[in-house]
Amino acid sequence: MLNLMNFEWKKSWKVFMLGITSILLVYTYLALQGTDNLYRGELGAGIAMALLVMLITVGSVALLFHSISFLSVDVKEKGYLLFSTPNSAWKMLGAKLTVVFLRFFIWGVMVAAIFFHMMSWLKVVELQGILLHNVPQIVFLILISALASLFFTMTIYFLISITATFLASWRNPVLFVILAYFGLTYVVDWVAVKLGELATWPVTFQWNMPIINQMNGFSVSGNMNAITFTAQGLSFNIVPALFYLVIGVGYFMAAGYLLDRKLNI
Amino acid sequence: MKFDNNRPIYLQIISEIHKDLASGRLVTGQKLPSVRQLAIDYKVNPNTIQRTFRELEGMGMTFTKRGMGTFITEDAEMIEEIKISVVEGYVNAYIESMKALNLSNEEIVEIVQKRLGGVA
Amino acid sequence: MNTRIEIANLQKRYGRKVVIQDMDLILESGKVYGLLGPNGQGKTTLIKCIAGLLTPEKGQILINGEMRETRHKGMISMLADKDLFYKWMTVQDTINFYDTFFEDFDRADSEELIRFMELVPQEKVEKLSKGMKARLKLVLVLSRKAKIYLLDEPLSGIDPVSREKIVETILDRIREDAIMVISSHMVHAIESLLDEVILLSNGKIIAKEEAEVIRSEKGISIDDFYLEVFRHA
Repeated sequence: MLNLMNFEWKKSWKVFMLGITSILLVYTYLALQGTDNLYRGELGAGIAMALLVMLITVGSVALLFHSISFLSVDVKEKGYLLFSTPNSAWKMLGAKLTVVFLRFFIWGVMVAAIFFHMMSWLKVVELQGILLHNVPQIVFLILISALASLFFTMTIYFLISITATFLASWRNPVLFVILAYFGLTYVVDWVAVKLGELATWPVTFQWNMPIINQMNGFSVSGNMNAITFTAQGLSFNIVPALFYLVIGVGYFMAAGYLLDRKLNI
Repeated sequence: MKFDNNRPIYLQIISEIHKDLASGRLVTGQKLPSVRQLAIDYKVNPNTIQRTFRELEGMGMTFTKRGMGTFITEDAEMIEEIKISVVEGYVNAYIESMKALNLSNEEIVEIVQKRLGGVA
Repeated sequence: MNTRIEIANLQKRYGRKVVIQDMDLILESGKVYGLLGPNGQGKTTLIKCIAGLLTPEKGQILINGEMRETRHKGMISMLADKDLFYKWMTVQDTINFYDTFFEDFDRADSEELIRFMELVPQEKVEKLSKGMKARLKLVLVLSRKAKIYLLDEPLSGIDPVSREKIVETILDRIREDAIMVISSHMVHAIESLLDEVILLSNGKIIAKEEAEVIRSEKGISIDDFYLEVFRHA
């Protein structure tokens, strides 16, 4: 298993490291510019800020789509290499997902750290205070977004494995994956919301705040229909979350079974 | 070595061994190389060599000593017969090809003697 | 210790097109089989079915009496027409991959073969010429002490020098407890390797015979036999 993970990691770690390094470099430049330049709207600072935001956004999306390629490339072109080894499909998928999750997590930590650090030298004291006192909550949020990305990846892996098995003779697998993704996600999300309404089992992280700010309550929608932000704290409904977990595991088991027994590449 | 792919290869290898016996490159009682080695030497499938060995043994030309290998028979008379048949084979083939050119017996002898440096 | 492959009622479709129809075939230990036939007649498909890269719609493949499954992949060493490597790999990387994931990989053997094939370990795989890539594929496949070797067109598009080295290497690795299946157009180049030939036409076996029997009964080479069969097929 370790061997597989090592192999998967080696696949594009240079690009990954390049992404992280370039963002850190841009951020360093921005930080050196200083708050004065930023507030005065100096061009250098402005460009660096814009570049930073762009890099982070593009990088996040790229990372997400790159996680897909971990399987799609193997299924389309290089299948003879990986699928001719006596590793069970679950092991192979597990290795890919581990590396994917690791990268998501590292990325998330980097983004959070940048934001963290930025708040300190931007001297946004109140926000800085809030953040410092809410580290566990923030780590939890990073974890959740990493898991959400993982769930996205796993859904796609499941659909890819269908195109590599039962629908192997279809000429447009990408189209199938895209359409099926939206269809499947819609149904799964709908069920998750319904379950959330039926049963609640909340785990609450209280905001650890010296002052209760006028923060508007807003809820996170999308894959993780389980988190509600309020002025008091972070409420996490475990029921839909468990449902997503079950579905995710289901995708994993199904994908592994298909790739193990019904392979057509 | 290049074999004629239109004829069974194992028979051609047996021919080679006959020739080696005739020329003395192989002698009575001599140990033959292993199947593997011959396969590499002749650049053929080891199974072909196996088949060759089976044939040779069946013909009585070789015998196997358990754990030691395959050996040419000690039967000197058989070896002699093989030598003769190899030579005769060539001679017959030659004579036939000369006859096909419509040479008479005398002409054939003359040519051969000339070639060997004798007097016509 | 001996290996045996039994294929029964095999059917493989691509969409609507039936590529292999109701095929029965037994492959025995210690033999080198030539899988011959024009392009698109099912040779690669059959090989991929045995290797587990394709799942047949009907029929079964038994390896030593057991239904074919993932762990059998550890016994099967396949050389495919497609390139097997990732862009970032060097020759050494490919060796490390095989060494890591296949228990029967003989590292010392591979190093000797790399030298014989005149490959450079540090060279990036994508920079290799076609002939050198073919040599590398063969090194990897034959450095494994597998029970089943499936070589799909190992000589296709290869220069004569590489061809000779490849044939020599294959020959050297024929074992009693293993099965070799070689599919090729270049019948002439592999004639001396083959024990039996299997001719495929439209996914059906139209001839299966021992090479030496063809030579002794028909007095023609396998190459000519192929021509004869397919001229009328």
